[in-house]
Amino acid sequence: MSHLDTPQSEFEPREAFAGLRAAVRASVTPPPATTLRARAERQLRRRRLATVGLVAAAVVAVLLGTSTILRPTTTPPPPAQTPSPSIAPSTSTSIPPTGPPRPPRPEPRPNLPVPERPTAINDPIAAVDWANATLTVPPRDGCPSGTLRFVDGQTEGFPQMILMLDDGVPGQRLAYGDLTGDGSAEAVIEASCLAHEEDAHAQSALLVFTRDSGGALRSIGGWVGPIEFINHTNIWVHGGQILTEQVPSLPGYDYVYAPGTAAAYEWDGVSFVPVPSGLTPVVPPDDETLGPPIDLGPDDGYVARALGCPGGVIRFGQHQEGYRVDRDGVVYGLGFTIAEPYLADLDGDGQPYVLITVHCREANVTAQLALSTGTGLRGQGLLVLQRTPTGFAAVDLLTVPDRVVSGWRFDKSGVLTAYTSRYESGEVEPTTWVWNGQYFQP
Amino acid sequence: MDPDGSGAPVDADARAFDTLYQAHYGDLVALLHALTDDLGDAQDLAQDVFCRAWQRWRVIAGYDDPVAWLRRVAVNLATSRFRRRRTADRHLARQQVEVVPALQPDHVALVAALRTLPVNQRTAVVLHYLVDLPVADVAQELGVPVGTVKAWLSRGRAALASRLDEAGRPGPGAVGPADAGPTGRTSGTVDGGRAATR
Repeated sequence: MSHLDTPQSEFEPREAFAGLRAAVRASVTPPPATTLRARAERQLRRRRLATVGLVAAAVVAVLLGTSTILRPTTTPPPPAQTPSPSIAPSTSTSIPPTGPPRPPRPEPRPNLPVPERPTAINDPIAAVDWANATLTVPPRDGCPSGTLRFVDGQTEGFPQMILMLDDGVPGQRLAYGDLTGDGSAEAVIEASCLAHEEDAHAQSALLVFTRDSGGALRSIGGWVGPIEFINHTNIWVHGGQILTEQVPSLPGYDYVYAPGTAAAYEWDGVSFVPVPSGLTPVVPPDDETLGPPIDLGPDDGYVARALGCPGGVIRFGQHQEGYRVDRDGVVYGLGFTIAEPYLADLDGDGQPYVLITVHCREANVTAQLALSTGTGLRGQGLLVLQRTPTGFAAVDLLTVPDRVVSGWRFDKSGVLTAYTSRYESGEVEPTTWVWNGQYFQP
Repeated sequence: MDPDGSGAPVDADARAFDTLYQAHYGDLVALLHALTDDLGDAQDLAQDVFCRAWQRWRVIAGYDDPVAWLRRVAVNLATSRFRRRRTADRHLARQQVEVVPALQPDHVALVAALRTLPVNQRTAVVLHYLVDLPVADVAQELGVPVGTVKAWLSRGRAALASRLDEAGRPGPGAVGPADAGPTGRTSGTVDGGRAATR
């Protein structure tokens, strides 16, 4: 029966959309891949020519002290980059190992008492129901301002303001702490705005709220940080500073982010100004250098055995395939997404660990083949890194047999949920662990 | 591998890209068709997305989930396209007849009903129900809280059910909203290529 014939209550969106998807897939044929790649490379060459031409024109204009007509440069453009590797078919094949024998998998570790985490801040502001609060907020283009009533975390109508209180982990984007030194806590919240009903992508920034003696909640210091297409995947307060991971929320968006870093802001009496966070990335800042040393521990240690590859110190460099290290016939690769919180305050002391996926594979398979089929993959999981004076030390590796970790969330209560999928199915399941002060346990 | 049968040498990077392209082109067109209500536009945009991917392949191939990148770019381009075309569509609607491919009437009706939703609801509905993304992932992709996505899905689902219910009412002779919709579009029999008449 078509859904056109069904009463309203029987409309099954999942079924209807699956049918649409299958019908469209069956009705289209992709143009030849060589044609498409050639078109992409032509576009790239045109853009480079235009850029070179504009720069040349600007130089000429400066030299002549006058405006000039743009002329195409005769400099041949650099060859189009035809970078990197490897999306392979989802077929499992056996390949000869290229590295040393795989060490035995580690024995399960004992469950330890889970330490008490620091309790929530003892301040009336921590009891505010932010999703249903009345807040006074500063002006910003495309946003409502003044005293606003929020219901379920958002204002009514457009322009609309939305408080980012729930990204799967309630409270992930809400932090408390004394930022002004007055002895009372402030609240830091990520907020975003939709300028009109057809606005599907919100631009976010931070707001800091203070609570006066009468209970009124008003923002101080204006909007904090850049107002851009970024996700504040983590917010916390430490040492009177706001710290936050600012990750681009749009692909290709020109906003630089390296896992392990955070932005920091400090109150100067009027506003919150950016200051160095001191949190360095786990990857090199450019493709000319190596990242900081990362100590995986001894060859027979837990992390190396869980990864299935030798331990020791490695330093990732940026290759065509992403961040990787080639050593002793195996390849170590870091995973990178734009949606996960890389920093996690596991001990609740304001000193974040770094969480990032890592895999180790035989040198004769690509990352994509290994991760999508398991072919040549020795191990993959979520690496837990602690900062050392010179770099990082691996303290744990969370793995799930025959599955790869593709995402995670860390709850401020100490629970980590990792999302894993079987190599070929794509079906995702959550697995939870709790931090016991030394490692994650089930 | 010689995906095009041309016999031309293809390096490992190109092979990897081509495999991704062949595997996901259809899904990306389906996503874009649902967002844009125009199969020709959807194919143009899908090719644009893959062009951008090839230009940035060095970075994208290192992502854990290159398909997520493709999807996000597709949604962004569709949203931009929608905004640019919206005003023009109002003027062109009465003057042009657009031929859409030979999809089943219920699929045509579904896409036409989607077109009546606000962009944010439509995007959330398509990502959740067509792409099968969990609500939390839709929220992450759109940069809004989970609660907001749930509200959009709820409103969007109700609106779709209502529109489809209305579309089913006229009885025999009614081909569906594609014939009667506000843009004057009509269903036709193009082979999935760009619309012949615009």
